Amino acid sequence: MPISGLRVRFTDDGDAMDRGIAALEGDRRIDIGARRDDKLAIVLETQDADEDKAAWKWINALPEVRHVDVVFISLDQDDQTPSAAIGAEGVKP
Amino acid sequence: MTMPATDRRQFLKSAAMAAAAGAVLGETETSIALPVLGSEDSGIKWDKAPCRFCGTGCHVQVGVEDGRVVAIAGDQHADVNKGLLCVKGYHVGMILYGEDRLTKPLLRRGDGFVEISWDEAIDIAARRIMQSPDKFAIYGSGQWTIPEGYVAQKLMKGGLSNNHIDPNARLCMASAVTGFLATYGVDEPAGCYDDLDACDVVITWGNNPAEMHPVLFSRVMDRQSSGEKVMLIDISTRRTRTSEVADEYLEMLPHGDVAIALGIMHLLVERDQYDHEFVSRFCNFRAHESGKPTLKGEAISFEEYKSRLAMYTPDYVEQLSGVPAEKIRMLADLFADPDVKITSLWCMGMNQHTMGTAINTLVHGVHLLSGKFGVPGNSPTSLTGQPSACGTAREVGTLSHLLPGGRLVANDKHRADAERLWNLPEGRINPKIGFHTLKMFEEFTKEGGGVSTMWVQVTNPGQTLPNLNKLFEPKSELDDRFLIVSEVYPTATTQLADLVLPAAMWVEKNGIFGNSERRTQQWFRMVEPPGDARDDCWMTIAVAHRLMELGHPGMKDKDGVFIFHMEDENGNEVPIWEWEHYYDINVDRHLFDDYRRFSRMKHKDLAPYDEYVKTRGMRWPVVQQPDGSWRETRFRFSAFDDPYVKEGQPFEFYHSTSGDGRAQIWVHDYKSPPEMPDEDYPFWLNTGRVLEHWHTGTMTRRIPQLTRAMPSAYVELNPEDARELNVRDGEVVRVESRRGSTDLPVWTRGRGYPPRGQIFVPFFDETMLVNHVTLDEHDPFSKQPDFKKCAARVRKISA
Repeated sequence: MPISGLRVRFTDDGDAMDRGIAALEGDRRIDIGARRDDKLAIVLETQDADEDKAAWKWINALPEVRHVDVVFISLDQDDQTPSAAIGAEGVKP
Repeated sequence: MTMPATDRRQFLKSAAMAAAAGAVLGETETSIALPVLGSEDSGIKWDKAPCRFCGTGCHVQVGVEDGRVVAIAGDQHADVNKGLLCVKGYHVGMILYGEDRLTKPLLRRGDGFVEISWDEAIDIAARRIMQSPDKFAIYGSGQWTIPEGYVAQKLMKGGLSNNHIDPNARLCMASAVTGFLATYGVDEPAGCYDDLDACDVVITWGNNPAEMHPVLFSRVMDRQSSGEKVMLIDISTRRTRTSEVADEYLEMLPHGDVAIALGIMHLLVERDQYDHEFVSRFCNFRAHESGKPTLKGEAISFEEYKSRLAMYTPDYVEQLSGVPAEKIRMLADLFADPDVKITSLWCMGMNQHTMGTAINTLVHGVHLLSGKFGVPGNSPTSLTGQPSACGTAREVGTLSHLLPGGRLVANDKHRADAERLWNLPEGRINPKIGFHTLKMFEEFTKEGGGVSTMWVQVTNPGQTLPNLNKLFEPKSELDDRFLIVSEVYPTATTQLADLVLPAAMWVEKNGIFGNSERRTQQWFRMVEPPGDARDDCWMTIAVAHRLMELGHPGMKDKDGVFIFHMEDENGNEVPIWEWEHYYDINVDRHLFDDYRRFSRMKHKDLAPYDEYVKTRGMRWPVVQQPDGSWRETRFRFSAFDDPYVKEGQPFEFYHSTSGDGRAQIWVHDYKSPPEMPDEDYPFWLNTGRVLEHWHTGTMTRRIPQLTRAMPSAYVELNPEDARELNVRDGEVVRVESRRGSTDLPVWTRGRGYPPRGQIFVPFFDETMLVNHVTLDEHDPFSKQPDFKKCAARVRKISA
């Protein structure tokens, strides 16, 4: 269950930030944090890496969002990292 | 103690919110507590470390629970990244947990390997070296920690009297080194990342920081989005993500950068718009006049300099570079404007270049000629691709001609100084320069070559060397060659290894890196390595000790003491060559404090180890103040910041090659690349990296999120070329040169956009080795090969 800490930057288009925050508040996976200027802190908690990726994409695609920076990520122990192709075959006792 | 899952998740969410809030408000105004370094209250212990990947040197906070890294946060206390990370950085913790980590020493038996003990492995390595110590070579890395590089080079130069040690930085940074040396007489940038916060114009010379140094690039983007006017000019052979956000994209032909720099100089001189005062007080002019060119060159007059530039008119530069004459004038106008601050950035585009030293000196020269130097915002700055290319490969002196602290093996006094500091008998250090990387592998892979045993540490030459069919693959046919590889994962290099030593990585060991802006960064071991994996530094010391037991005289100093002798605080020797005692003391601290004595010999002063424990790095020279504190230097050679500039002088180049405190402005004639497209091989081939993968992908390809985002290599092709070849996106084609070939899927609308006649292939994918195709021609001074241009063709495979 990935947890990400994100810094969202909004466009300077009128009330874009308020509209963007309203959209984010509507998603139960997201906690809203501090804001300053065009920046907002949020935490995103999802069930798995695929949902996490889809959620980031959704946030990035909001018209009010200029940019998303990731500043924190938890590592899921179940998400075992793979071996690369040649290597796995290349060195085995 | 393990926390209940709900508490643990709540803690992680709090930490995530604290990190995000810190990035929004700035660390001092965050009301939510940040993760406390060293705190174990929550069951998760946090500590600081530099990121393992590129040379930017971002700091992360690493959360460890039950001996495993469970969270990564951008470090808000770090000047470099101010809490932000790139897509690789925030996944960095996962590099430790690939399912195929090497955990046992392995010895080749026929086509396979057998597991052996560490005692056997160390003995085998030492006996191979003892057979022919002068035919032994170490090939290391800009990913070596500073202590790792230091012990490797002391073993070779101070122990075996053998200078055949070279790092992979030869493939990425060597031309930057020779460029700095030829211009200022001393390596590494004068400025720092602070320049990016103060400049009016950023020029990227064959550089794509939007993908390769994204956190650094975001400093510029942040300024732009905050309403500041920062002009970005991208000079490149193909459109990249950097080009997409640039105010000016100047598409040049390969080698066009040389002509462009000469063109700017020509206009500044011709229009009398150069900075007369800066040049007359602080610069000389240099060229290669004799038949035996050297890095010092020969002095020339301003008139001679001017006459050599005369031919590089905007129209002629347009012919050579493909960049319109009006854009050359635009660049010259910016450099001529005293109110505009310009920072130039470059990395592999200018370094992997058969005129690498020349183009480096020319870009420095443009800045010096225009006086755009030494003031925050005005800086020629090279970036590095590896986390300690500067700190280890360059500063520790692991290149085959260097000693620690930027000193030279060929210099009698420098050798004598090193022998004195290491307490070695006079004459121990060999005055003959060792094999550089290409020569080393040539000697290792040819019949009767001068290298019979090679130890590769922390790098993957089986994937990164150019022209692999010449420089690496022939090893498999030579039974008398022995390849030792210290690695964390199986790689293209371990495939040909005879002995594989499983290594600890990143926060599984203590370490110190040095980033692109002269910043030295320390971290502590936070988790245990898997299985029997051990520190590279320990491996080197253990082999050295075994060599001593086998009777090699070089493993003792002139008093008969082991060259890596270390004592605890009570003065008792600690047998650090025995793994169970290696962490009885902090070996890194001992080695670093030993090494830092050298750093003061060329004004690259380092503070004591413990000072770096307290900070997120400091930029050298770090000089002690009257109150006992240690002060870093952001801007070298500028009196307002550099304590080594003589009083009363605004600038002083105190390692000037001309001995008069002046920097050198060079002129070189444009030369065509050694191999150019022709009828048989009509495309220019360019190679490089992509955002998601770092170098050969041995770490990033084991991170599922990154592998999913960029699963395999590809050949970027212009859509019109694809149409002419009758190939479509995803179709596999053969990319071949006179040296070899590899098969790759086509991508016409990908990350970059090459012009017609050019192709680009990333080198991260070990299943599609583009270095079978590349050229091993190299710069005459730096010996750095050109991975950015050679002639190739693309052939449709399927019917």
